[in-house]
Amino acid sequence: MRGALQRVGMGRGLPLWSGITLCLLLPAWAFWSSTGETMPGSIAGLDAGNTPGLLRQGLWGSIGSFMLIAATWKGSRAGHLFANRDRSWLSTRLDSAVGGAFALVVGGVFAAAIALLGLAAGVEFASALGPAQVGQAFGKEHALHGQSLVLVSATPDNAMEAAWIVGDAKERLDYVASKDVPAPQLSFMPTSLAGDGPSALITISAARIADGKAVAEQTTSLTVRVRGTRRVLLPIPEGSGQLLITVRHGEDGPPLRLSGEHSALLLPRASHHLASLALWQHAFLWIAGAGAIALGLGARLGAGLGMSLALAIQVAGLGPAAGTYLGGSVWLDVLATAGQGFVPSSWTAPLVMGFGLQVVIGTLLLASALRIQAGKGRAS
Amino acid sequence: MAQTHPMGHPLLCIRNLTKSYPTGLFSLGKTDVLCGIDFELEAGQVKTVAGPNGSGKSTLLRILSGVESAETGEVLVGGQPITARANRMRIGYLPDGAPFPLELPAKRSLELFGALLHMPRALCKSRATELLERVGLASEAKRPIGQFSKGMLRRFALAQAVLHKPALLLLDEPTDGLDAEGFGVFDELLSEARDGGAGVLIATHVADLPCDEVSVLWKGKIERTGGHELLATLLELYRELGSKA
Repeated sequence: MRGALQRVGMGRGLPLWSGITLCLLLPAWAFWSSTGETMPGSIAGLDAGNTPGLLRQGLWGSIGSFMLIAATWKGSRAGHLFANRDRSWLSTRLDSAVGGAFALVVGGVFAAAIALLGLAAGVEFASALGPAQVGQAFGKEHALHGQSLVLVSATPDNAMEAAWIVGDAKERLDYVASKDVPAPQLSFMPTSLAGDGPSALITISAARIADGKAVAEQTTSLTVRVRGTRRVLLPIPEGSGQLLITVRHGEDGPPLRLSGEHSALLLPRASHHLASLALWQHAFLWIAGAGAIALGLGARLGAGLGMSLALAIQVAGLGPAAGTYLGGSVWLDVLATAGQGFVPSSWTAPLVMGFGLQVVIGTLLLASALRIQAGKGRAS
Repeated sequence: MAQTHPMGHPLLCIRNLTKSYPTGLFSLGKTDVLCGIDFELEAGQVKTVAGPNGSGKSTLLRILSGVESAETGEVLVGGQPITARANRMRIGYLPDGAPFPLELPAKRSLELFGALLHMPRALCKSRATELLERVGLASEAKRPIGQFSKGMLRRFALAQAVLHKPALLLLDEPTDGLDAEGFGVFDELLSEARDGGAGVLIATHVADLPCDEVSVLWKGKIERTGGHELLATLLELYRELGSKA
């Protein structure tokens, strides 16, 4: 029963979405293929030969926006139809309104997943036609979780602890050193430097952790200046297991601020093409979540109002007020990361939870519309 | 031949059924659509509810099919409330208009409806093929029903109503838009349902449908009940009821 309804939900969305993807992808290809050769290889802070990264950013950014609008429109329209035209054949045959509504919403989510996979494939095909992306592929993981961190002078009394004002400046990751795999890098941007010196010495260390204790440690020191983004190789000790990465102030010196927003761990990835996979993940959570909630709102409020409200929720989600629960809250960052030539980080637990919540709300709204509509009507 | 339910209950029993719809500014007003309907239908019987537009025929059938809820009163099918899950399989409903998944081909729609009613897949497929053949839509099986003409939609609606061989068949204006051949198909399916022991309730304003009993619905109340011959005098009856009002 569920499978049959999921196919109905999927069928309502897929043809339109696929059509939009194709219609937008083809002219976009033509545009990018004509400008790709003349595009500057290096823009401030970007790697040389990053045309594919810019292409990914451009295509996903433009087509993704259209698909968000299409998802909310199609979702709210489908919800309105399910709650009105389709209610008579649904309500006389469904075992439960919630189960049926969930199957329809899941079908719509599948449609979004498939259409966006088509977009990912199209973008990577387009990027393969143009100039190749140079260098090792790196995934960009925000290590410092968006907090601004201040390195202060170490003192003899509390040299270790005083290294960071913010307590969670350390980052753990799994990485096994190998000749075939490039070492991870740490990317950071000193944004202000106080005191009387133009530079500061910092120490980056990586320790292998076993049973909660550091069993091996490698350290590197470098002098940093306030001059754009720095990328340094992480010192990796032998062995396997979790690594604890710590950045400390090397020795006495002026305070130094590292912007958490611009600090990241760069982890080697197998291919630059994985960027579109990561973009697909984020676009899916955002667009499919928006479609799911639009489905429920359309069922209760009508197609026009449902779409407007669903879009308003997603636009509000672009801002920091939405936290990190709505896909839109990280979408612009993810696009920027791809535009810089990195593979964006994967979806996070709060994002998946936010998506799940939208699916649940959409389902309950649709189910309630299927039930409540039974009280309305006209004499005939 | 009418038969009572094996457990002694009539197939369909309606007691004091009422329904009203909100009207006016902010839905503060109320229009009574059904005002205390009492009705019974036995298995193997065909009964017709006739009445002018707006008399409440379709509302009655929508309530009986579970699409809408009643305000007060009791509706029992085989002694169980209409809302009981077991009743879903026992009721076949031909709605007014074409409220179907219009984007789906006819055969797939029937298979979908069968799947929702937990019919085995193989049975679903064979029954869908058989019914489309019988209603004259075999050659249109792969065509989306949204592209059907009004008459074809009515034939499809007939097929979906009898797909699972229901014990209670609710038909809302079943012949609306049917051509002569379509009438033949309808007669054939109706006879088959009756011979199979199903009870059939038809809402119509057409004056010559085969049935055992006719109830005339006027402004939400059953004003007259009689034999098939009552259908031939509907117009005069409406005038009489109208002049009383």
